[in-house]
Amino acid sequence: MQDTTTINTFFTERARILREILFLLSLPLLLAAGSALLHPSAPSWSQDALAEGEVDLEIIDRWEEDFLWVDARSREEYEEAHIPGALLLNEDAWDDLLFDFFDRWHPGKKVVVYCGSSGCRASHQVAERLRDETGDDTIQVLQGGWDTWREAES
Amino acid sequence: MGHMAGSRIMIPAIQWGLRLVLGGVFVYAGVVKIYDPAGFLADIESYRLLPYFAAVATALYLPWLEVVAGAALWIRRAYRGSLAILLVLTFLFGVFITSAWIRGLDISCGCFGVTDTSEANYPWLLTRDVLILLGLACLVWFEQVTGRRMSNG
Repeated sequence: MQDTTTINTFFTERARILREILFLLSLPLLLAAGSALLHPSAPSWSQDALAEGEVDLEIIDRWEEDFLWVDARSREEYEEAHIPGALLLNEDAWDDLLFDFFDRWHPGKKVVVYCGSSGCRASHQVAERLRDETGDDTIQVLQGGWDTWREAES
Repeated sequence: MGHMAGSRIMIPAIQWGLRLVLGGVFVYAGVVKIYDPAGFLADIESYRLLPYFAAVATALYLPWLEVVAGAALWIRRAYRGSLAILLVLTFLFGVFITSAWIRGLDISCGCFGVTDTSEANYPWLLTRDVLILLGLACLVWFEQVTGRRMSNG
């Protein structure tokens, strides 16, 4: 008799925990839907859509004026390979590298920052700091970064 | 007898301490990511595990799951369900970090919404994950002990 009660209790307990789990997994679904609809910086569902401050190679190809590539990856990655003419500027050695930037940049000259791939944030962070340093809000980031550029080249 | 009485006071005290701290860790981790879903998406993409669409869904859903399950750790009626979810989540985080380490990726962990460009400190990321996992495992063990004691009268 006691065995039956124990088994019943065991299954009732399991069912209760399962209900808790289902509730806790469903509630965030609603909240996430809210984020997707209302959050000002909710990510786009389409990978091709450009985020704020980003450009792609198609847009860059149409530019006629001279512009400056800024490589926000590590020195090792930069020395291995980089976009021709690109300048190294990352947050690891910001103060030293910033001098080189100001040697080659003048107000009005367009700047495009890139990092390794679409999965890195370094280009956005470097672009943000450059906008603060120069007061130039048009400094942009290459969507897809070095990976995209290399694919387009090959 | 004295030992029994001591453990009867100690276990609930440690249990509550762990529930508060671990719940707080998950709520904090979730809230900072809810503020910046685009940044968290980039962190998820740095692991190169999910296709873009799934990464976006995760970037929107996971922070809320952390907040809800973390807060539920403080609520008696949802406590055990939240413990199960957080155990699985923390275990999976450990698996993802290890897989990125093995593949030699320079990830930004995304664990607490902080993104930085410096190289990922894998030993620290894994230690932190294992500590949280141990804390949760302690709670499961306490649950077994106190549950058994209650059923024994």
